[in-house]
Amino acid sequence: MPLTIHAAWLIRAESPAPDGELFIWAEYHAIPGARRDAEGAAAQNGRPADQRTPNGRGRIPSHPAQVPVGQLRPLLGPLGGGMVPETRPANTQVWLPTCRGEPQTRTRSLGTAPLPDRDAQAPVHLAPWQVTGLVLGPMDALTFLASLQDRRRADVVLGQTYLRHIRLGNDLRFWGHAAKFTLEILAGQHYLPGLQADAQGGFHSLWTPYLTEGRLQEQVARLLEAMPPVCRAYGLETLDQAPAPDHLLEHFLATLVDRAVRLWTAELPSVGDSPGALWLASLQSPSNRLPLPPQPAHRLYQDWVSWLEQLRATAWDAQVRVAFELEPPELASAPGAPETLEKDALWTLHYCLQAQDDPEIRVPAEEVWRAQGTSLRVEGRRFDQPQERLLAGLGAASRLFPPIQESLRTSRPIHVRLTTAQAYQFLRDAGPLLASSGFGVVLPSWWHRQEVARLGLRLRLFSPEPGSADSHAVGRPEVRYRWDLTLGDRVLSPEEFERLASLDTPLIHVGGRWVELDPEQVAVARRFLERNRTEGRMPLLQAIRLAQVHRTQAEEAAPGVESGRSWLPVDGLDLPELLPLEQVQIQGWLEQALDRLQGTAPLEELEEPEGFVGRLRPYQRRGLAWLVTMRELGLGACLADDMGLGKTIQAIALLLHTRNQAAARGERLAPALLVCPTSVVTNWRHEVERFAPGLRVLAHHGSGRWNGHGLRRGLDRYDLVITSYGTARRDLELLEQVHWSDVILDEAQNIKNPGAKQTQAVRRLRADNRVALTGTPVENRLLELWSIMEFLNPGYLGRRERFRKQFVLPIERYNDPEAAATLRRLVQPFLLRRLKTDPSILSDLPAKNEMVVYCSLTPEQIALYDRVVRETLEHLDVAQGIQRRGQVLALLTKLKQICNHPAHYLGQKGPLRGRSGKLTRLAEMLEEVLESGHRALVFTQFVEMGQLLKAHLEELFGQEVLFLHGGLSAAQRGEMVQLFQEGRNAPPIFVLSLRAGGLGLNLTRANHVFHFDRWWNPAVENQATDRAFRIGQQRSVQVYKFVVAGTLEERIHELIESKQNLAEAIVGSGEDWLAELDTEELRRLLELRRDAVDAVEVLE
Amino acid sequence: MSRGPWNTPPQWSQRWHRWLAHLGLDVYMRQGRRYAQRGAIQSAQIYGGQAHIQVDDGAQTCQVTLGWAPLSDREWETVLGHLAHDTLATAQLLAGEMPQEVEALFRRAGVDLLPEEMDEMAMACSGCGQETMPCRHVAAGLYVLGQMVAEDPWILFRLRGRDRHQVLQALRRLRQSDLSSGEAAPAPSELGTLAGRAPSVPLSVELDAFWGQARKLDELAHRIGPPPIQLALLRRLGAPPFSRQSLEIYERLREIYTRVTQAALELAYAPHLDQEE
Repeated sequence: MPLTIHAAWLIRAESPAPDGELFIWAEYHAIPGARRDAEGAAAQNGRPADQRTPNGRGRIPSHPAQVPVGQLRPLLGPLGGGMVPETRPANTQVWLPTCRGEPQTRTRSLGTAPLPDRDAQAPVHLAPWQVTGLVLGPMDALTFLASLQDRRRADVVLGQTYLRHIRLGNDLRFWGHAAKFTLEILAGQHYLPGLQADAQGGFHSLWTPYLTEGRLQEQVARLLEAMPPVCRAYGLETLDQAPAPDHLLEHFLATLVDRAVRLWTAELPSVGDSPGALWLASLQSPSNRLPLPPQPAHRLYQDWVSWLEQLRATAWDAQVRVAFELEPPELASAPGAPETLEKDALWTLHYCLQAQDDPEIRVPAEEVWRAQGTSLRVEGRRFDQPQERLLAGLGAASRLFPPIQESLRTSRPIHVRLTTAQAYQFLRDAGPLLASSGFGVVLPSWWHRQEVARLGLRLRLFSPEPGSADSHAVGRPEVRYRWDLTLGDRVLSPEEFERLASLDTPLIHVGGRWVELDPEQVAVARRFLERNRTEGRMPLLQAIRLAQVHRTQAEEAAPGVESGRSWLPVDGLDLPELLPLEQVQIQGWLEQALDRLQGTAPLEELEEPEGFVGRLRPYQRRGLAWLVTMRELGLGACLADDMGLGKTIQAIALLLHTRNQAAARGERLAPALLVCPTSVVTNWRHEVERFAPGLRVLAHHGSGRWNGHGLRRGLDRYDLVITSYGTARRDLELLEQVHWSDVILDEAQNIKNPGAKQTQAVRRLRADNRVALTGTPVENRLLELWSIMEFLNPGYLGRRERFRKQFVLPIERYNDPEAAATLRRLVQPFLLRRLKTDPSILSDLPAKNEMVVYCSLTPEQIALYDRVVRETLEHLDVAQGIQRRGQVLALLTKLKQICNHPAHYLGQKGPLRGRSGKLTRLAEMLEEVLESGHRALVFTQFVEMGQLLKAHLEELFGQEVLFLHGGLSAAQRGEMVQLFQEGRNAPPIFVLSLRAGGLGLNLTRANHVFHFDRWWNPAVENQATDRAFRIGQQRSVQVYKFVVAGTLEERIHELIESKQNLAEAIVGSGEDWLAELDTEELRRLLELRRDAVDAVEVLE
Repeated sequence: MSRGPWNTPPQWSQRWHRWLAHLGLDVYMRQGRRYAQRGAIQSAQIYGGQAHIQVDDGAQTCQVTLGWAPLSDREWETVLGHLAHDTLATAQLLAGEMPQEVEALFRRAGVDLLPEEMDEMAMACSGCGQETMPCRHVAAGLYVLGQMVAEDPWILFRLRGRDRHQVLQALRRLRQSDLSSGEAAPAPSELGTLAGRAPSVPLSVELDAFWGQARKLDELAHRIGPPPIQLALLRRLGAPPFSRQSLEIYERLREIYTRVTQAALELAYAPHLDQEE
């Protein structure tokens, strides 16, 4: 049953020694066994539950939907990074929105359950509920929460059970963020050692967060803004005891910071026995009581107070601060002149007062000293006590930047002169330190990332022009490269570099501007030149990677922000972190190719290849062109278009195009290998037969497949071999002996697990070209992305451990936008993903886009189908008239049921998984729909099947599935439709019985329509489809008609397709015409076509 | 940029020695140092304007008390007035440093920071009579006191009756007379507090979004890394103004901050022992 996990921070003790615990509990989305009928609700209404008071005599009732602790505990390990936190069960009470004496559950509070008695009168109010859960101490809480992946839902594997889509409550996610902020505080050193007096006159040591810096303040504001109110509703006697959000967050941060620092420094030895040392020792121990007699303790406290006043000198004034402005010396070198080295030239650090709210408002020190009276008025602001402020600020600043001290020897200091070395130290270290201490710091405008000239690298990549000999060789083309050192926009020859380096000064005035020669950078540059050849050839993949890294650096870097991101190691070449790649120049065809791959130049359209039956839409032609380009460059490509945009036919067009090209050159290509899930093998074969009948296809699949010998011998008779992931794994030894022209993975998310056997098997296949097709938003699932890229372009994203550290953790745990941008940039040339909602795609799409989805049968279905056909036809021979007619229609129904699901035919409730090809395929496709955030209607003509679908899909996706059928009242239907159309968190899947849902409903929020089984009446089906396709529908609607290959479904489908008019005439009246056929005709229509079903294996 | 906490000029210990010589006490110092180095000093504390030192000579434990005549309130006012009028001295004092010219400023006010005459000194030993002053225990005490002063010259102020806190408050009062009356500075423990950052809305008003909004949580991002400037807070603070072991404590704090950063990063990027394989 779907469940949500909640968390709360329970305050156990306040100052002087804050303590608390993390309380975790979970609730099911619906109250188990809750009666939903009107009488039930009425009966509950009569209960005086709403008058309960927690402190009165009434017992606080236990939350009826909570998950038992025994089931909750095993979930924590998988959710919290694999480490199992130490927990103990505990009770608390929480005030929750309550209606009619029941706490609102996810299902109920959203109103998704049809409640016939629902009316506006039932008031929702807060009432206390007893909940049982698990508590974690502060350190366990920090470890658990910090490794929590931040997403709304998580999948958990527990032994044999796969729990999908466990919902992480907003409260749990909130505390996860608070814990990650705690790590920011700890890693960023934003905390102070403290002393706190208690009521008895004793003292306690504690570490407290110190969050005055602007960025931290913003982060705090965002956290407070995001805190769900429920966080404050725990452990309260009355509602007005609820802690304020800021107090609750501060308590959490203070407790965790204090505990973490104590724990992590516990083994450092004591420095002595002075009062200060004893205080420090107590800050490193679990006990925070200061072991000092009152007098020295008080003494220590006073010293500590005056110590911390150092921070206040600048931090506590809201209006004005002391600021420093660095001015370079006037140098008379004209642009273009050689560098001037005036080591003696002096810089000036000007002192001034600056308004806190407007850095442009500054009062120079001269004016401050001239000022009369106790305040200064500037642009409508009053600066009180300007001289004292300036003085106090200068005094504090002089400790951080000693040269200031010199100037304080004059009575009215206005500035200090600095040597170049001192100025450099100010720019690099003291300036930022002063700024972080609350001083204003104004640096020359050129001292910013984009403008200051620094040492860097330029990479030039040369590729031969198109048409030249090696430009289009399939394989792994190489490009020529050349490295140069740069200083700003100047390229330095090694001699120039050495000459500048020998000047041995960090700032040089060259050609009218200042450039930085950081000594560390100089050393790194020397080493780089020694270790790497400046000219040579590198693989194309490496060149692309460098180009992409450069683009990221150039585009993502914000002014004044030093990118702390380390370089990606490129095979055999470690780019030094300190030496930025300033420029990448690309010449030749690579330039145009990269422009297209990067999306800066439009992709051209490529016509349908000869022999292609049908038309490609414009975006499909562009997709084909892209696939062809990637193939020619020897780059693995991932086509990740939205479901329904036709990835299959683009891949088929690629195969056909490649084969035509080869034939034009007089070559013969080895066959291509397509690996796909078992459930789509049949569909692939149908699609290839339909769109490229000239391609010779072998389904290497199922029990009757060829063995090694047969395959090797017969292989050159085929253009394409289709196999399933399971078969590819089992027959790897055989398949890896072949060098395929292409290996195409369909539903490439099947190799999302890099360690899985089938992933490793698929990676060992050899081919000229690799393509992955997937409809899931692969860029959001990092491990899957890595795994697919590792198949397509091995090594490109680096080793898995490093990838995890560099991208997976920052992005998945911490939402790091910079890491996400870098990764996006790196992957972008290899990934083509178009969404149905893209305007350019939308204009290409018809309003209604229909496709047939061919499914296969499981062995169980085949056995049932065969038996039913055989037995019924035997009896049919002896039946006559009405009786025969009835038997035929009953037979049709039975066969349809078998095609749907054996459980449907057998009248079972389960199990459902793995027994029906259709259901497996439906689940796969719906998964893509959900991943893309779309909505779907699923039509079936059987109420029983609808119920099975609802049950199965709810379990599979962990969320409610709506089901509309004839047994519901008009009001209930109306409510369901309204919920689907307008509900904020409405269930995205809506199952409808064709009869009940075919008419009159407006369901335009759906943009995918599935016909799970067929009515054989296009008019009825179209009416149903039109529920989603209505005027006002902005998006294009995809319609999928499921047909089980080899069965009567396929035969009748063909009949209808081939003779549309005739069929409508025949079939229009329903299925009666079937009853008119004689037994032999029926046999031909109904019997399984062995060639279509032979290739069946058990669905994985 | 690692610097000593007080910018302590070596001349404070030299100055102590010169002062002892001036009073004719330097001849006892060799004995005092020997005692101190033998571990005879049990404890040394400054309180109540006096230094209290326990000396164990092997045979007995003596309580040594050393003190100077405190300056009168009026004398202090004069001294503080002089200090407050000196730009550099004020700036340094406000920043927690001991100006090198401090003695000259005292003298300008007509008083001495260090006593010029023996009769301004009070020396007592629980084990020896007044007639034997200075005894070897007192000698050891004077030696230790000199070391403490070298580490924290503020002790000199305390021996004259005012501690650092009082001096700084007075200086602030003198320089910013009407400022301190207007707005009270927050106590240090409240610095950086979150109090008052978010309104405390009654829970019953929050029914609509009681469980929070996932969208707001989606927008939260974290960058967990080492600080761009190492030990910024600690460098701003300098070493604590404790009379003893100030430097050791400062060094240990450096170590603590560095180690905590390391541990936090390890936790932040710990491998995820999850379900992938």
